[in-house]
Amino acid sequence: MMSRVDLEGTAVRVAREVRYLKALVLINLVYGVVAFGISISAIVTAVAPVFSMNLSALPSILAPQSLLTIAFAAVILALAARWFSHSAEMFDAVDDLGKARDRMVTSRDEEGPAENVVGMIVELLSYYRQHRESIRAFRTLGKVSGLMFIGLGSLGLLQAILVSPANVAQAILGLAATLPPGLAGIYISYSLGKYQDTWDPRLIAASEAEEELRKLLDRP
Amino acid sequence: MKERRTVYEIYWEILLYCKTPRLSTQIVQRCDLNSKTCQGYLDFLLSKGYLRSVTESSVITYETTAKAQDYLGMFGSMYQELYGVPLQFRIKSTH
Repeated sequence: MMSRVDLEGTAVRVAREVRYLKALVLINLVYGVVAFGISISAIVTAVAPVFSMNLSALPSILAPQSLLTIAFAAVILALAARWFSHSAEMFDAVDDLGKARDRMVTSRDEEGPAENVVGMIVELLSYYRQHRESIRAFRTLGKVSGLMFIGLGSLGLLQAILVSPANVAQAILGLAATLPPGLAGIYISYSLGKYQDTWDPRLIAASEAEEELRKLLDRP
Repeated sequence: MKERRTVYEIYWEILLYCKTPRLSTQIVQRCDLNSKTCQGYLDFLLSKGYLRSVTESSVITYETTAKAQDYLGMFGSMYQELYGVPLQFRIKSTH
């Protein structure tokens, strides 16, 4: 059985991890909203002439390059929508974890402090099991979309330097606008990677613990 | 539906909750189960002698037995070990 000091140390680590996780999921949700907004804006810009009933613009919209842009933007929009809905779901669940953490810290109920800490660990394991696939997808998509944002801004700047130096200032502003979401995407990917690196071994250890528990339950 | 808790975690929750005698409806609510699956878990724990049922005025309550202490103790110490010092999730360096 763990000593009181170990138990307190575990409780502090559990509470701290929940706080970090909550912050990370919130950043993830905000990033999803930003990506969703940018995708909608790109699609609206691309198809706006159709809604303005300007039929003379139709051939240019139906050109393969425009159709490809719209298709690409639609795919990004679908991914952003999924990102947003999954992060909202994760945020809702992590909010419950935050409440459970507060209960663990302040609890004076009939279940002892050790049981409260273990209950919190069970909740966190359940959370990871439930959202493991989403986290894996966020990790990849975060890195890809972050690099795309930075690439887009850098490409604009490079193009301005090489083709139209008069537009360099505007291109720098463009890069300044794409850099924060780009870095956020990479940061999300990196932090979720750290989260996975912590929880995958815990999940394996929990499976090994289950084997021991199964043996105990099999005893007559 | 995605897997959330394992059966061992559900057993632990039931056994912990039933340290004080409980009605099956209370267990269903507290452990977030449906009544059919809950009854399956209760029957299993009864068969293992980890729970005992008490019928009083046609009301059945369930209570954790002393035999379940081994399970509760083992589960608690193994799950706390998951939070060993080498494995910590941090998104910034703090000491």
